[in-house]
Amino acid sequence: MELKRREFIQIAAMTAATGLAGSMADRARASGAPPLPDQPDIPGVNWEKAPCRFCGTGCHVQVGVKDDKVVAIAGDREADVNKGLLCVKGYHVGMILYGEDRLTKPMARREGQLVPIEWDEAIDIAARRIMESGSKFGFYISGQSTIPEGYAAQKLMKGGLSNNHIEANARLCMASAVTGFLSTYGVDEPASCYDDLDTCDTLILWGNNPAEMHPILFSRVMDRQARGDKVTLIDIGTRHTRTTERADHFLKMQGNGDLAIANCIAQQLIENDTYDHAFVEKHCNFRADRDPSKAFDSVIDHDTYVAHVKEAGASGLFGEAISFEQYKKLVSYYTPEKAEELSGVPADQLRMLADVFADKSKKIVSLWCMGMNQHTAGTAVNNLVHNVHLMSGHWGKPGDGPQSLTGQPAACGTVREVGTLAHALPGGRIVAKEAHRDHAEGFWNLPKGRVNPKPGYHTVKMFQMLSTPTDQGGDIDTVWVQVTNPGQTLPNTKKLFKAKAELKDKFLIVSEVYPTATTELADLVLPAAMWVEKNGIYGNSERRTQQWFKMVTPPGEARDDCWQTLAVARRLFELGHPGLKDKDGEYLFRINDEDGKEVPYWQWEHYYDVNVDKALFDDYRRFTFMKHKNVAPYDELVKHRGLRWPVVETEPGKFRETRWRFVEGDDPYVEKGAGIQFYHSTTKDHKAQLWFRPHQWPAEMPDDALPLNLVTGRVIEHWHSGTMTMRIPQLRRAMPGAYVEMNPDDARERGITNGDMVRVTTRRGELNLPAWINGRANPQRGHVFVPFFDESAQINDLTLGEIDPFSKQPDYKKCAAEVTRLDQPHPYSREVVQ
Amino acid sequence: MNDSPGLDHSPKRQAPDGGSPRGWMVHAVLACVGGIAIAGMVFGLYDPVSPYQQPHVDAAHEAQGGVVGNVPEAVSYAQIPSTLFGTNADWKTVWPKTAKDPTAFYGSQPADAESRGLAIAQRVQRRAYSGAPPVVPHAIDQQSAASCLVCHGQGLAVGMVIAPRMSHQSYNNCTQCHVESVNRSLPPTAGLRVAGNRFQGLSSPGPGERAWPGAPPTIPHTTWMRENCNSCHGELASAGLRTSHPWRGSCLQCHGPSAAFDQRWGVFAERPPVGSREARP
Repeated sequence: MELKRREFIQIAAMTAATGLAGSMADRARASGAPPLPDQPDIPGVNWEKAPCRFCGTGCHVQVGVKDDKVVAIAGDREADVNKGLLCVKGYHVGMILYGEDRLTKPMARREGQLVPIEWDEAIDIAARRIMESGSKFGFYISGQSTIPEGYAAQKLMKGGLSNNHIEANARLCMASAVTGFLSTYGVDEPASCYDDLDTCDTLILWGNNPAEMHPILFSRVMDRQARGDKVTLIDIGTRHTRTTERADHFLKMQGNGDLAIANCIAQQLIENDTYDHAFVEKHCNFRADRDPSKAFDSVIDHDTYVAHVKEAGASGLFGEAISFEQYKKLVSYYTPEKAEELSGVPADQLRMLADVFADKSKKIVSLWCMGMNQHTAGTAVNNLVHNVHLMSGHWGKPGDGPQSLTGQPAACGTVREVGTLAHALPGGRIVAKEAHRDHAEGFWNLPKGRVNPKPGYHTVKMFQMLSTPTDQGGDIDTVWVQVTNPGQTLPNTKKLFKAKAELKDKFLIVSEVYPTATTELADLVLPAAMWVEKNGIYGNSERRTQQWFKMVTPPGEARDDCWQTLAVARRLFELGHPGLKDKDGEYLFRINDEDGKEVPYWQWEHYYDVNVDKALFDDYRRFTFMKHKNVAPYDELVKHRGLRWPVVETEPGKFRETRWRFVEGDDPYVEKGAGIQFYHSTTKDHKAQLWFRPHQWPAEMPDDALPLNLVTGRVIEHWHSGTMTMRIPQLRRAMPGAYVEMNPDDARERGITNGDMVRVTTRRGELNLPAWINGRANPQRGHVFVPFFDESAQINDLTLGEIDPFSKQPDYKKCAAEVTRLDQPHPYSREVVQ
Repeated sequence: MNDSPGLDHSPKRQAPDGGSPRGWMVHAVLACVGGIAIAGMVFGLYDPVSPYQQPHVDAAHEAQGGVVGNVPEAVSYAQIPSTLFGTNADWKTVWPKTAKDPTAFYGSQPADAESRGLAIAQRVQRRAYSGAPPVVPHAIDQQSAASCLVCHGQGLAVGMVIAPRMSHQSYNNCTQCHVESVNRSLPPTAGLRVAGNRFQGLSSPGPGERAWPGAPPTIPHTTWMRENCNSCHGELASAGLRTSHPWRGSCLQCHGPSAAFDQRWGVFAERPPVGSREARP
């Protein structure tokens, strides 16, 4: 039945879409751009397209290559995302390849020291260890892994080894956005796109500092202002940042205040009867952790409900249906005055914000990223922000809708879409569903039952098990880490990662490009090729899948991560692992050349005999149709600066991308006349879910001993743990190390002046850092901020390992801390200068 | 902070032997007032938010007489009109020179090889490769980009120090692309592994091509993000790059850009079939 309906929708969509103006790209071509010149004679420099290596924005850069080296970078004027502009990291992205200490030789730990070994031996060690470990092996990859890398790892683990302990660092970054989308719309990933930034009237930033973290998107709006457009910026956050500097309104909130703020908007929309009755009636249901009508005769009030859920527990991610009357009663608790008490934002500002949503004449875009995702109530606050857009009808029109941002270039493409998480299968499937396992086993030609139905360990649990002695139940003994640096980026790293140092029976395999906090504890280091040293495909925050080709040779013996995975897979096959054969006895990762002959690509010298990326991607593509996340074929991606899925074939060989999902006219899967149709609704009625999610306090609150709240995050110059950007002199000089950002009054009370060395203390440890007051940003009173890029001052030794109950994502933004001045003056403090 | 360092400096006075009680009280009051004043001053100096100087400067900027770390000595109000303050002192000497040789002002002499070399060396020092956004050789406002435009919006020259006008259209978030050459607010923390970088950037372009001696040279670099020629070649530019005829406003009338620098081109090149060996570098 389902199949028939899908086919029908596909056919209908193709027919409808044929009538439309053709692909976005075609429209851009037809818009009067001058014809391009004949091939110019460029002495030595060849320019090619690639997505930027850093964040989830997904800018395209033009990479200038000369004599097998990257020599220059330019913003790509043909790219929809960045229209020729980059940020300072993007302009210097070519330099990430050339740090002096690139890893160029495999190394194994022998008597405590990493010693160089040959590749063949390295692959052998890894394969034998994985074979031996069985279900105690975990694979930890990344939102920076390419889609083919993620797909190869996914297929090896779930299809080959029947092992679901595969996770990606995106768990630490956007897991709550995923659970938010799933529980609200029934399917993951934003429905809107960056085009909205070009037409919105109001931009609301929920704990988001795009001026530093997504600068291109911020500029896209700021440049409109410069051209005379009126765009109102409303910044909701705990620090006065570069973004706040440009904002019209700053709603200064306390940790977890966002829960109260969003609920207050809903309360006001109902109280003032300014919510969009037609939209809510047609497109929304109401939902909560528990349906009180099962236990109570009449609608219950907020406190009774909270107590009831506390006692009965939540009924899973998808909750239970509640009536509008019950929702109204529950949310009526969040009056502006009550919300002020909970969030710290003055009631007047909350009324102003509610009025913004009440005004149907103005288009609103909400942006959020780590502020809402790295949150012990991350799923809840994601639901609530979708709520306010749905309730007010600010949804599904160009320039009008919520847009969740990601921090990594393929957090969407590789992790969310390929499903490289402990519970997931490619294309929005989950291991727990038999039908989904059947699909995977069918696509991979596996015997029934090969895919394990039990979800594996999520990231925090995987590393907790690695760092726990085997005899105390630590049942992960081998982890292979690719393209990420958990030694610095996990929360509470002393407990979750560094404790592994003492456990001699545990084994860590690390594919890396530079020495990091993770390679420090590695037992086997595999030197990796990076970015344009290999073929790749990323997927950005707006569902855009982006392909690039290898442009330069990797240094020394560094090799593609994807090759490493496939070489280990081949060795497992040679060692006789039964999982590496499909049900017909064929090799699981067989790739044929054009004549149908098997290519021995697992031998490095033959790896580029065939385009392995294309083979894997087109294999993976079959998974993407079920949830209507159709990615374009590889050859189509080659021609574009990314295409936003669902990409449908409108006529043979012609492909059209989708800008607004669930919206008739743009999304080909919406039935004619439906207007907006949430066709993956969890309630099977094409409706989205409006959630009641109560306010809750952070997992760790400041107290007398630790009276401050510690927030961690990024700065514009550095990306994540700084492995790449700290090796770019221009960026390292501009931002040489971590610091504590303090409110001037908090500093004054503690006798701390600019440049003083201070000690930051939390329940998990302490760290010495210089203080910077009135510097990059100003936290409000009671808050301190420390960036996490500096490997010589790792703030994640101090952060909290508490996670969201649904998404299992940790909260890096809230834990109790104290800052004290160190006795010895800092070398650059005024005592010494004088 | 130290234990009230100001109080240590407060004068300690006792009533002189045999002094009248009233005299003692006057002394005591004076002592208190003095003590408070000195303590206030010292606390003021130690105000946590007051900036502090670090011994880091951009050498090239400094050599030009940049004001960083070169704060002029304070003088009395009476002396201000007759005092020459640091860098600005130079401007007086520039005018007489141009008075003697007006062409120096209008710049009708083509730049010589030496000054061009200097200008290019300075450009190279501030860019990772030709076409990279330059780093900022002076301290910046960390939180607001508005102050950038005060000097770089229209361009400004004081003495030998030039704040060039933006070479591109007015983007609105300067610190998105331009970072400080050296962070002047934080100590240069030595990371566990501060590694060098072997990147060799695209070198600065040489002179443009001339069809014959005397013909206007072509533009030897990309014009993307460098639409405003006057930023580097106008009157407010380093001597070595300055045009000899700044009054001619329409540069592209005579100087042709080259398609060779239009990096959009490569993407539309016919490439060998995807996946074939030839598709690889």
